[in-house]
Amino acid sequence: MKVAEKENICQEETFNALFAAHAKDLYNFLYYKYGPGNNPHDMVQEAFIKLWANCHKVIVAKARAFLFTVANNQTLSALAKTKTALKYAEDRPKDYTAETPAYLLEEKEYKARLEQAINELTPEQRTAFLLNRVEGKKHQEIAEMLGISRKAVEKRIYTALAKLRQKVEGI
Amino acid sequence: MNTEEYIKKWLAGSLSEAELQAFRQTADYAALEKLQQAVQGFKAPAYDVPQALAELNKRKTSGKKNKLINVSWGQMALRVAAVVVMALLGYYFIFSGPATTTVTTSIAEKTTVQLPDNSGVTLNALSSLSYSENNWQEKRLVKLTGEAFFTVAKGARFDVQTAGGVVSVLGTEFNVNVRENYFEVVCFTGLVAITAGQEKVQLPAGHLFRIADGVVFKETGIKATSPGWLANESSFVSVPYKYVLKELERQYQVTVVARNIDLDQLFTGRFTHKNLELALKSISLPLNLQYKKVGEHQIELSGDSK
Repeated sequence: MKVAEKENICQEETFNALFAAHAKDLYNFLYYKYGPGNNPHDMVQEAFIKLWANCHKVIVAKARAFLFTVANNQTLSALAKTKTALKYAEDRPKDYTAETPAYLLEEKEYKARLEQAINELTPEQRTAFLLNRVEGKKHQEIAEMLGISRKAVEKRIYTALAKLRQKVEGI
Repeated sequence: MNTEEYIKKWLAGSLSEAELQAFRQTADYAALEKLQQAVQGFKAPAYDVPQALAELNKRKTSGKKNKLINVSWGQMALRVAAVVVMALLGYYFIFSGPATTTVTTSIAEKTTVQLPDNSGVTLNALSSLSYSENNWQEKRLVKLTGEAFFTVAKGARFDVQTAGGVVSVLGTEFNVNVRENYFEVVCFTGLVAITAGQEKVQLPAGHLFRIADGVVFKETGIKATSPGWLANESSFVSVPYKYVLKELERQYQVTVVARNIDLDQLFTGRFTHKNLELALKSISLPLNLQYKKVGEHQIELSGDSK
């Protein structure tokens, strides 16, 4: 959704449009970076509340950067000792039927190793990698989201992939 | 093109159709595909934008109330006033406590008061002494009506405030008697400074200073070390007779009616507080007066009618 640059964030419509445009990305960013244990949902809410409170000071063009910075900082300060741990979705629909027990065990072990490997990535690597692989975000989009260069995003994703493969496949 | 380049291009989604065909033949591709499939299990839960927005708008309005409160100047003034009142109350309760201590005596009653610094005050009949216990450290000040004998502990300036004047000392023994139109200070030891209207007097030991009906009277050479009334005797040195009668009324619960008597004549002498008969004789005989008990509490004192 496109938000006109000249509009004032204090206007209900503009604000709602900003929410529609950025809330999901912000949520995903927080989810992948800090994990579901650090209340990405609440942090998104908090960030937008803060944007609303500062609606006179923030221009529309800077709203996205503002939201990401605020949400990131808030999560960091709330991080306390909560462990960042992404969980493999439990209710994932089965991809295969009639698997052999050996295959099932193998799959289970593979997923367990993957889960551990993903959680062992740095938050930055994990965020970039999952946004790319799972959310299908382009390198450029991720770069804008994280406020880093496209080249840095590429490096992070590739490093993350290499690490994962090393741990999962034993390469 | 090596494997790393293939993988990087694959990650960026920029492999051409031909390159992709070639890449699919490699073992890496199979591994990557498997990883790609598996990693989908970590997908963030679906984010319900409309619901989250609704929740946000609810919080926004309630949050707005909390954060942006319009405070009018009147309300602000009230708040400031409330804070000031609380501060004053707190100060009052912490530092002043019970404001003043007052000791009062009635007719024929004497009492001794111990001040916070161990100075002693003996109050004669129908007298009242008040002082602030909490401010005592800063200022030794007592207010007196009636008569009292002070034994002041050495220390900072000690003030006795009376209707007749202010008596200031550093530490001595002295008697102050303040009655209607009557102000008398007797210093027994040390030195006493008196400020009574225009009069400023330094009163050494053994000296007496008195203003009665606006007339200043000074006496020296008082030998006593404490006022007579402490020993239940009222003593007078050249005191107008009416004040003697008033003192009698204070020590015994009587009213004295004087007939054919010059109330301004000066009287020197004493009377006891223990025996009315004896006291009446003491004040009547020297002046050649007759006394008569009219009622239970009334005395008629008459001079020579001839």
